[in-house]
Amino acid sequence: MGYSLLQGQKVLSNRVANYDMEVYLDTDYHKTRSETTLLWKNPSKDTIRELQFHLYYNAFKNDQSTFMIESNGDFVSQEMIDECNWGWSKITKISDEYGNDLSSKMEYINSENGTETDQTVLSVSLDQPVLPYDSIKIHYSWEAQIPKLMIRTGYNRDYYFMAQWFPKVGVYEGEGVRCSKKGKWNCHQYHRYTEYYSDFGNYRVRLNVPEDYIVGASGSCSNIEKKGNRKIHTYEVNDVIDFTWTAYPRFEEVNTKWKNVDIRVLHHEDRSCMAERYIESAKFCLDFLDQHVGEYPYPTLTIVDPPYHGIRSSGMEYPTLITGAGLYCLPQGIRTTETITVHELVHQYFMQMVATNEQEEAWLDEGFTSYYEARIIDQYYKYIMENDYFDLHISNKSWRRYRYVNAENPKVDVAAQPGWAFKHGGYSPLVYGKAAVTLSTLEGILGMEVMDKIMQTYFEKWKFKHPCGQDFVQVVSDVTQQYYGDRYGENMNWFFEETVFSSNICDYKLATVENRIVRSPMGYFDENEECLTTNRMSDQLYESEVILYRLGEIKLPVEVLLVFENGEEELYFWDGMERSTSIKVKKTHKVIGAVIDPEHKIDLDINHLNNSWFETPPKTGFMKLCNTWMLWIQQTMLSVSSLI
Amino acid sequence: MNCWKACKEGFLLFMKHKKLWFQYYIINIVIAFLGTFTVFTFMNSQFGNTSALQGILAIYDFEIVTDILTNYGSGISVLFHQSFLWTIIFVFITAFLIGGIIKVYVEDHIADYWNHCASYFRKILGLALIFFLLQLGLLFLFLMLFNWLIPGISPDDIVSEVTALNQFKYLSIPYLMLVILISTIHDYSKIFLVNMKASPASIFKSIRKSIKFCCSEFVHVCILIWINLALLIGFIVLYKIIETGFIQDSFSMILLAFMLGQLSIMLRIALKFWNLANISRLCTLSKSSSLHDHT
Ligand SMILES: [Zn+2]
Repeated sequence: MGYSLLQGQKVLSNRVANYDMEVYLDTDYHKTRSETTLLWKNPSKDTIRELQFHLYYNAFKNDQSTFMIESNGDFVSQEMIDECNWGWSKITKISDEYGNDLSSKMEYINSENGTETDQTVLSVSLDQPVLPYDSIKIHYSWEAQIPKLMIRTGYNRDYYFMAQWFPKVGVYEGEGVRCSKKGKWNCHQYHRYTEYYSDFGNYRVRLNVPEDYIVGASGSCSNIEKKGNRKIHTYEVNDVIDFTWTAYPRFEEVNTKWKNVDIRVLHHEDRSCMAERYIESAKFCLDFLDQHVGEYPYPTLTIVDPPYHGIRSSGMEYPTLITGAGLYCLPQGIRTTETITVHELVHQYFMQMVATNEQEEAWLDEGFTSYYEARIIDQYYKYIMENDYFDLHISNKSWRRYRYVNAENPKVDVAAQPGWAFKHGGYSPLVYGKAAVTLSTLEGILGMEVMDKIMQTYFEKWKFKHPCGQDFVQVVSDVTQQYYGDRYGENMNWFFEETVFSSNICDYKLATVENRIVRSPMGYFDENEECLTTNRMSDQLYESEVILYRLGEIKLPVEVLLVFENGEEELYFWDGMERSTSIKVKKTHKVIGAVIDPEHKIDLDINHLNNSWFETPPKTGFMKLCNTWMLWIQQTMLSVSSLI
Repeated sequence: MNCWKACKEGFLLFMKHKKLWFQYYIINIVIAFLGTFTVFTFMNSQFGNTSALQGILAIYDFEIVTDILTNYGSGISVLFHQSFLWTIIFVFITAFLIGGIIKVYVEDHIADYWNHCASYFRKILGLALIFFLLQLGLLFLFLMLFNWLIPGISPDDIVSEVTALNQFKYLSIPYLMLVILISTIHDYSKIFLVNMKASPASIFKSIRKSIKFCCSEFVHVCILIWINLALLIGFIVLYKIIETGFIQDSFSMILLAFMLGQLSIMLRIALKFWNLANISRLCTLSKSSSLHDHT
């Protein structure tokens, strides 16, 4: 296979799964047909006797797929049933480079977490095994019925968004990869939550579409060839884990550059007002990630703004191609477009370059992405929702925390587990929310500089590889050791065991503050002596006791600020190990108040309101709240009574 | 022109009987104070010793707001419901007072004010119910028409949201105009209603008279609507401009914001009452109107 356009580029990955594809899009019957050549390299020391493929479109084949069963009919409309808008994918012929026809050696298989009736994983036994670190070329013809767009992928009218659209080889994890003890295929069925996990490789895809269709795809377009009333668009991209494309006749495009990256925005013809918002937020995001995480190494970035009828493909991330979410002239104060653009762009780093297993450990990509989404949006825009008129100012960080702490049951499950293990809800609040809030708590404890160092080290060490959660924890431990020695223990496992690896919550409470005047001893101390009746104060010495509770199960070290009557402040430290503790001080001034975690470093604390206690707290906050409430009632009463 | 005269005389009438304005404002603030006092008591008992609420001074920190809603949500929701109860009480009080108020403006003397309030209470309430149902019907019609003009709002129904938004925009204009027109007819019906002999048919008769009046005095009626609307919008915009410049971060600033808020409430009530005085004057001044029921 020749990769003309990108041949001179630096090799970034181990290029395990490489594809050369001829694809024909049939817009009359919403079908694709393809001749595909896969060059697969065995990345392990094992001899491989079978290949496993994902046939994702079979998730939409019928209501008995794992995806459909897990989603409980959420995506199936009556119209879809009536019009039979299901989709499927099938390999019609498959052979290896030695001429062996493997078509009869195909079999749908069920991984331990799927269902029997699902056909999204196909095993192909090889006549000629692949020796350790050797490679094999597989040729296959396949066709697919494109499903009507219900989630992420499919068509609606003349809009096509083609994600997880081709039979794609799974990941063979050799011994040691993602902490595995022995080599095995990691090729899960398509589940309700989470999307894909795959190997790096090069793609050369020739897309044959009707001539009036405008195409966007992963990588760069190296050639467009006219053939009758059709056009063949050739796209090439290297060192990526997937290839996605879109075709729609009414796209308009805006092109710009960030450093050496060509940015291309494809939007519906009515939405030109949104293009600048995509570009601005993408540039902010790339700047931030370049500065705080690492380099964006690809020469292109395509941002697709799906038309309204393609809205179900919004907010998705694929290598060098993301989909945003816009609406015709969305008010500037509502930053959904910017937030989603930033979120999907961060995914280029977390799970597309640092290629964690999204299906098994979604917290490593959604949690990380949400964490950075908050940092980037809050740095450049301050708020995701802002309106001075209604006094509405919502930062991304506080919104993210809200989605976690306000979940129906924040303790419903463990965040760090496979997507299919969330049987009773909690996927979004835990995987996106709790994981992100955990990372910002880590940032609070270790400091921003150390946090950035952790992320940079993790990215450098694991980009274009497949790390697991423990690999990240190891990086955290190593960097923390470098900066703080043993201050936080010999490793940081405890932090993650307390947080993402458990279903616990964190809540500290400042119970009360008691002040006692220290008096000289009174009473009989010896029967022969007189009763000591002196009750004098020993020069206004106070013994103060600040009582702290740990209401949640999570044990995290916290700072406690004591405020004295004379305005002095002292910072104490509590390791949070006990359920309750007290801080006792003897001073010439009373303690008039105390605050746990005064700098809000522990973002995981689900209730910050109970973190402080003051003898006579300032009431201006209460007054503002009451003033607002009162005016609100007055205005409501007047508005409703205008009906009279 | 009658409308300018009505405006001027209406204002003098309103000022002459400003007691009614103050009375209504006092009722409004007392009820709101009762509703707020329970909120304060609840919050003070739950987190009265915390300093966290200081975080809402500059702007409403969403984190604090969500901590209140998440951890004390059940209490807050009871308080919300309670405030709706206060609102309903206020609506009934308004229905009770409005007949008396109009009578004062029409006859320009305050004698028998409470008697009039009581005698028109049920009819004013009945009239409000009829117009409420009319407004509901209009809203239903608007939504039906919108639904008929566009195939739906699901991604399967339309290609671009722009068409739907434009349809909505174009339909909203006549809809809002109709809403205003119906409210106006409602206002004039109240004037006619309090000047009729009591009979079971007087509500419908007042509506008929009101429609007839609005048609014959269309220009004057419209001018009064525009004066009222322009003043209301002007007040709201002015209030919001001043209010957004206020950072309530100290006792004095909160006090100032409170006073500004109360001023806005007083002005809103004043505008409502002045409008009632204006239209009652317009009815009296107009030759085509037979305000008093001679039948
Ligand atoms: Zn995501």
